Amino acid sequence: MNFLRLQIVIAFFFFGWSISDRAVVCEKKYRVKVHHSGMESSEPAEKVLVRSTCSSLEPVLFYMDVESVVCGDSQCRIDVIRMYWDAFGVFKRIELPTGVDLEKAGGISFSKEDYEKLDRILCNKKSSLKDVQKFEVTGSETSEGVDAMAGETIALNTKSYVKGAVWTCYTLWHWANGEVVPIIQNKTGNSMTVKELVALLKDTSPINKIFALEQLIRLKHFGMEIQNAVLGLQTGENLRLQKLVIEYLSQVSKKNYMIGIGYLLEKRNDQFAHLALQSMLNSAHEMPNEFLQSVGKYVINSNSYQQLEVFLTILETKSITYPPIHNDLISILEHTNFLMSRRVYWYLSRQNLSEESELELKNFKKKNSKKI
Amino acid sequence: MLPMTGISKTISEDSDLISKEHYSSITDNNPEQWHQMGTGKRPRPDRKKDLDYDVVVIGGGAAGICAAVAAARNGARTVLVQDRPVLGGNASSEIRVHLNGVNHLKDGLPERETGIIEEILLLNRFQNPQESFTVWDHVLYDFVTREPNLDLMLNTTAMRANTENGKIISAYCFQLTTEMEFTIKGKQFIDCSGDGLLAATAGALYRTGREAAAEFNEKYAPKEADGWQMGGTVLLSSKDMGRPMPFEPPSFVREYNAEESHKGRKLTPFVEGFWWVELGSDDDIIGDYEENRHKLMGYAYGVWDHVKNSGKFPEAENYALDWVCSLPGKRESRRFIGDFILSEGDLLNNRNFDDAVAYGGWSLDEHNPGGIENLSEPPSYFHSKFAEVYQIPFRSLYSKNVSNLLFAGRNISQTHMALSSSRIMATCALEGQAVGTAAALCLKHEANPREIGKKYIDELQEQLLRDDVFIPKRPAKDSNDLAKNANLIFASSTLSGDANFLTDGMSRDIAGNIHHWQSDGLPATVQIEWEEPVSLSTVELKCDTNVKRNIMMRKDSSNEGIYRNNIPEELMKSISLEARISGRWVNIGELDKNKTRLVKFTIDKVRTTAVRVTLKETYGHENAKLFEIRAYQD
Repeated sequence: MNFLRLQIVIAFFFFGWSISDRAVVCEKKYRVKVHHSGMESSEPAEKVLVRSTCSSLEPVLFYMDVESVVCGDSQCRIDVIRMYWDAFGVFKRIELPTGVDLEKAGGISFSKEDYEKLDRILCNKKSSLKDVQKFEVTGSETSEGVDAMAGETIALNTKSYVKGAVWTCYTLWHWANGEVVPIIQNKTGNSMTVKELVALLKDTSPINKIFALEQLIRLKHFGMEIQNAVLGLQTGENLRLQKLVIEYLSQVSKKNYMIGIGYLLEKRNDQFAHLALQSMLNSAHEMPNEFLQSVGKYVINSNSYQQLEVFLTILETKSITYPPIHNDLISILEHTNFLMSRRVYWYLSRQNLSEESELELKNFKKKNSKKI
Repeated sequence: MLPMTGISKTISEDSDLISKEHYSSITDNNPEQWHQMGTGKRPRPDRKKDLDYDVVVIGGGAAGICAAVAAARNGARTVLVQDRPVLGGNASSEIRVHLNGVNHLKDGLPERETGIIEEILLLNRFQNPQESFTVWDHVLYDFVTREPNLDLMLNTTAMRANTENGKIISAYCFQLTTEMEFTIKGKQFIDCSGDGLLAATAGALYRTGREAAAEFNEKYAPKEADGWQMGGTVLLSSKDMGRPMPFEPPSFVREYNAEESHKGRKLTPFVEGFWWVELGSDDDIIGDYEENRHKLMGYAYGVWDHVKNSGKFPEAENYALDWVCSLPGKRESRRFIGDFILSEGDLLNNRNFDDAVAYGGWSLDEHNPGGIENLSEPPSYFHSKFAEVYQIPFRSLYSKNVSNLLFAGRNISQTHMALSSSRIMATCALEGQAVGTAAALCLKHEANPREIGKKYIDELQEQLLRDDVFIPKRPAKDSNDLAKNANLIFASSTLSGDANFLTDGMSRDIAGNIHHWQSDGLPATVQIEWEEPVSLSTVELKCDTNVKRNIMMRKDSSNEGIYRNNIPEELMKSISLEARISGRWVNIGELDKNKTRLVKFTIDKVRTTAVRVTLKETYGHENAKLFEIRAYQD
């Protein structure tokens, strides 16, 4: 966090603080229950989450007042500080009461660099702090015996904390990236119209797209226009987005599911196509042979052994026997990718084929007797 | 009288050491002495035995266990000779030092050891969830005694080497519990005993004390060489009795002066003892051992007396001693000389060795001269921590002048300063697996260890890598591995990494590079396709145990951050293996309740064009992660 910026927002914060109990038209308060992994109790803490539209610079913000430290060694000073998120639950910043600085070991105030590092730490959703519980955040100066608790060496990646303030970093990270995030997202989702959510699908930010898809699924918005928007979503190689699209499709009607799968296969994105085929393999839908044939044509054109493998496994596990598919597959026997040819050979060898196709199989076997 | 150190016996035809006369002079001298009431006979006890093995391993600590198991698994008839009633050395219930390794590097994260030592530590998580030290002893006992091709002799001291032409012919041993004298012949001898009595009596060159800084250009070494050796420690444990507990010290107590002590001698937490209750020697530390033991026990009680009766630790009021060590855990004595002496600069500069076979990464942790009798200095100097692990070369693991003698553990060829880091037990265990494997190769090639290092080092490294040892900067390139020649490897889903990384020769993520494949959910499959059919009899996987968390048993049972006290949830629990035969998938292997990172499917030979591994369940993690897949015809 920019230290100067911090000082400015402190003033604003203090003003807000002083009127917090009065009705503010641009704010809405929610009582929420959230767990924090640093808390002694397994019961969630009751907090007040505020949705604010007061700022012209940031149309929607959420904030919550939290304790700066869940203290592990009884040597910490605890301050109440305010944490801010945007409408999508992305952590934005912290604010401190006037005259208050975060403190490191020995009562030393955070430096500008410390605040900047803290900001980076709190914004990192994948921080190693994520998997750490309250106690024994610290390892210690060690020798072969029992490692003392009060030592200098921290049992964490050094990028995960400000030296001398591991408890503060730990506490604030778990507030910033904890259970309040999906609460904020759902509050925002509930407050948005379908049109607004669909519009977000075209946003450039993958985070916003993911948010919109999650909310559309949660709120069960499965109208045709929305389905089209989901299918038109630009996912790039973002696996999370692609999986959400598949998840969305799995909840629409069978007819629209198949239309959607067909559309995704046509997009010719290997990763997406693989997900679509896996979805078909795991789907309980009974799929018409004609649809499967069209999928087969796509797979044949893909020149991908992996996709062929999944497709034939779908046919095998669902006991599909459809001569037009066999006819399409025969051409694969001549494919330059021998793995594909062999896979098709073994599949077809267990089907009832035309005399002409049987002959082609025999020729393939004769030609490749040592490789099958 | 028992034989003295430094006296070796050269074999001759009329030597009584290999005499067929089995009547021992140790017990009965008079043939009429023993009247056996059951039979009415007057037999003489048969107290001498000759044994013959391929590989003889002396010392049953972490290094010795790993050496013996590695030798046995690689085809050598092996015996492990241990002079205590339990295995484990410093980690045993007799001493209770944590089996540390590369617990954390500079970035705060471990680079945990794999291979045999990990297998042992994982087995302990399955068999000893209560974290009992005495049960841990028997986890080790189980691990060793269940191994085919390996015999264990407890309570047996290897007292003397019998040598011929610079080579050990046999080890003369005495078993305390049976009054038995054993002459154990062997082709290769591995001394993992720490003090190295067998190696010393074989005439192997060794050093004790500290090298002068100039000799190896070591910046943390003293200017002048001296005799100082780091000491032994007496640990203790206490427990909360739920009521105030008095403490009355024994007569041999030695007062601990906390006021005069360096602040590095921390007294809290006090529950599990104090590693700095330590005494070394600047002369003959082995000869001083019993005197030091007596003093150390006195100091241990003295520190506890201070905790209990000084009034400064009211939180200790309900605590009472639950266990006090009687056998000080040793850190240093002989360091045998090999073809290479590992020194401080090799560690700090991360020197690359073509013959690297093990690694370390504990800090340069040199305990202070004088130990607890030098209170003004800190208990240890943590000179330097490592940003990455360092290599240990094979040339430091065999004797320069005894041709069939290898060693692993704190007695390897290194300076005092290098020892201050490498002495840690899991590091010693890696050395153990290396020399055990090397000894088996010596038999295979009818070579001595030096020749293995010169002619067969690739083979040694490849075998270690196959057996799941990590050698820094040394990827596997086994030409017999059929998976490397596969035409296609792919997975049913991928959350991170790539299925193609499974044959890249690196079995862990390292230096910021990913070498794994992780599924997106379970079950998941990995499939290997060959254009030309292959004959397979073995398929091997290396799965995930999260080497960024330590799994050794700790007295505080820590289960946070870099420590864990349970079975890694990442470990694969249930796996099946299929081969495609005549176009159909045929199940050729099922594994449930898996307990190891290295998973081996040994099957009747099949001719196949593809294998499919189905990863069905972990011990809690939602995804499967693999680091390697191999396939062999052997």
